[in-house]
Amino acid sequence: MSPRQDENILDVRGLKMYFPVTRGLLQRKVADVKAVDGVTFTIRRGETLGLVGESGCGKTTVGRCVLRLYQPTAGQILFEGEDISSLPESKIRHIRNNIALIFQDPYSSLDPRQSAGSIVGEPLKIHHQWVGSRSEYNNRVEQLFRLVGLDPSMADRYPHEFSGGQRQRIGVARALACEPSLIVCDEPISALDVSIQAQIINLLEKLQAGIKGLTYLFIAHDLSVVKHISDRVAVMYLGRIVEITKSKTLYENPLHPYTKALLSAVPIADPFVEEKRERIILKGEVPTPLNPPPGCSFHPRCFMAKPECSQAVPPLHDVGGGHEVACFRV
Amino acid sequence: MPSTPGSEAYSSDEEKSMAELLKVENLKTQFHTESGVVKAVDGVSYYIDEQEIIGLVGESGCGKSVSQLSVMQLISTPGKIVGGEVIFEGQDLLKYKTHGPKMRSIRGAKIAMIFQEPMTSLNPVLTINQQLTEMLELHLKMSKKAARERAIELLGMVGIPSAHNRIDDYPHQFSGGMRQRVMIAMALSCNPRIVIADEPTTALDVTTQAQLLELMKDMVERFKASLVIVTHNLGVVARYAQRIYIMYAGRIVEAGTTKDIFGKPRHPYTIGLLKCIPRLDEEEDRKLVPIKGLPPNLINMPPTCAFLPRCSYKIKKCSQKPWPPLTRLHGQHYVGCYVNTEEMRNEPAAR
Repeated sequence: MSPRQDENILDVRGLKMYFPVTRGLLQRKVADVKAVDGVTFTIRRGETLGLVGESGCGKTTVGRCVLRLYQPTAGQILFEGEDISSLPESKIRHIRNNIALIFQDPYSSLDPRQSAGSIVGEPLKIHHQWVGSRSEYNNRVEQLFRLVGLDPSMADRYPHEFSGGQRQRIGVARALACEPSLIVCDEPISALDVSIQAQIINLLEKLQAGIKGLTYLFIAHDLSVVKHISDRVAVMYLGRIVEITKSKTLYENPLHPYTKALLSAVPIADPFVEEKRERIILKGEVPTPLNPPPGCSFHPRCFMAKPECSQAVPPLHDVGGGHEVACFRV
Repeated sequence: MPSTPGSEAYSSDEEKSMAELLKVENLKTQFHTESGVVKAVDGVSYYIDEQEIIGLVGESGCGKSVSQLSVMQLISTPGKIVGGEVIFEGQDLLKYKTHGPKMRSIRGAKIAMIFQEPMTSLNPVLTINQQLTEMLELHLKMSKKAARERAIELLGMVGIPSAHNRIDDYPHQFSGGMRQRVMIAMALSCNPRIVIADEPTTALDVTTQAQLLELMKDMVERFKASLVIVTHNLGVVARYAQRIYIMYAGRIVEAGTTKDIFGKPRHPYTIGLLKCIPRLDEEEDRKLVPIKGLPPNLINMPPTCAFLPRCSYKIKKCSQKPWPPLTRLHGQHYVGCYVNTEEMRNEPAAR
């Protein structure tokens, strides 16, 4: 065990990311899309934090802010103790060497005209410290191929020659190239077939067990997958975290009404269990982040809402054991 | 191909409470491509009873959608239905001409379909009114005015608020979930006997998915129709289907009641599927067991069982004999496998 085991590798405080909506010839700003509106969470070294939510809830935007692919509107992102939220572009590259990304679509995230070996090796070239001699580079690429369960002799093939699962393995190898301490996995398995998904989940778990301190921010909409792979799970709704707790607790004792509805909406592949499950069917759809409802943004769909819910935004508060909920009724 | 079940594929000793509505026998659909003949559906037999919900489960490319499109005769070149029967109300639909009046009187009217992509399956340049009333006027010979009123009523039934205002809107003015509601209204507009839902909620969010599946279930009950849910999501069929067919590489490998399939899965593929999906209620340190290898290429398939290269239960017989036909275990539970996985299983199955 590393002595720094309990240290937070990532500490996100009050993160906001607004995208301006412009109109007209002069591109006047008329409104903001509040994609992420005050998100606070931490990830410990070696941990997997799952980030779930429906499309448009801002989960991907959080991931991209962490990688500084976006310049956040407000808030702090402390990575290994250093605030990276306002670092100038020239210094970001050094951070990205430590934070990697695995993309959702293994088909569009690999350059079709680059060989698999060169895709995996490219980060090594960009972050110079890895490239010593040619043979050193080749050895590292070969090692990465083995690490993700690909035959190094396939390094000269092009992405179209690989299956979806194999392509995602290339994506994982590329992410691992510079030995990052944090990997942001953005829906890494949702484009894959059911029988292939398990292969990638197991690969990610195996890598984490083998590489000391490897931390994942696992973003997905599939609650059962997120629960399976994560130590803790944060549930997002319209740009805010509504509940964050250990993944076991989330299933056994969800407190936020949205979490309850989300859990009950996921069918379990077992008719014997399904017979007994309570189903909460939410009314309506997710409102637009362009004009979110006042107060708690979930209150128009909430089955527990009271008048005060439309007055103020409920803060995320700890109800014990690191279980945090943002709801006035809990 | 000697291996496909004959016309007595699903014998029924017991009296069935419901009448059989659709019976598909040994259906074969092929695509003639430059690289060879793709046997997308290779001898599929199944049936649907009245007011029943069945699930057709498989991974992409297993032929589940093509089999349903074949029933509707919606296969276009280079695809071709090369054999089999689709018996609906005593008539073989495959004997009808694809564009003939008989097929047209069934397609959309008696057997309706809900497609996967609510974004692309509605015509973007026609209003909802134009798209909904077209079917009512064509199949039910309604007047324009009556059709419009019925369309508003249908939209209300599927939960579109202030339907009389929204009926003249275009599809882009609706969200994905609302568009799928319109599709459901459209599918049910002519009181069909069967609704085929092809991955109806795959493109949608979890809570919207739950809303729509619940809606579909209520609506087919209300219209006394049967529902075929085509999906790769085992959870969805566990929740809604009464019977399930598992497809692999163009064939049905296991069939049975939902409780048969999930409680006592017998085909190695079904067992594998159940072991490789994460479940919300699983033990904390459960390990997923992936199915090794990849789904086969449907061109130049070997005569043996298509699952053989990925199978962890295989015995010598498997590589010597042709694809095993479906055999009956008990009741409505059928499996196409030479191995008695029940006996071979040295660990608790899938659960």
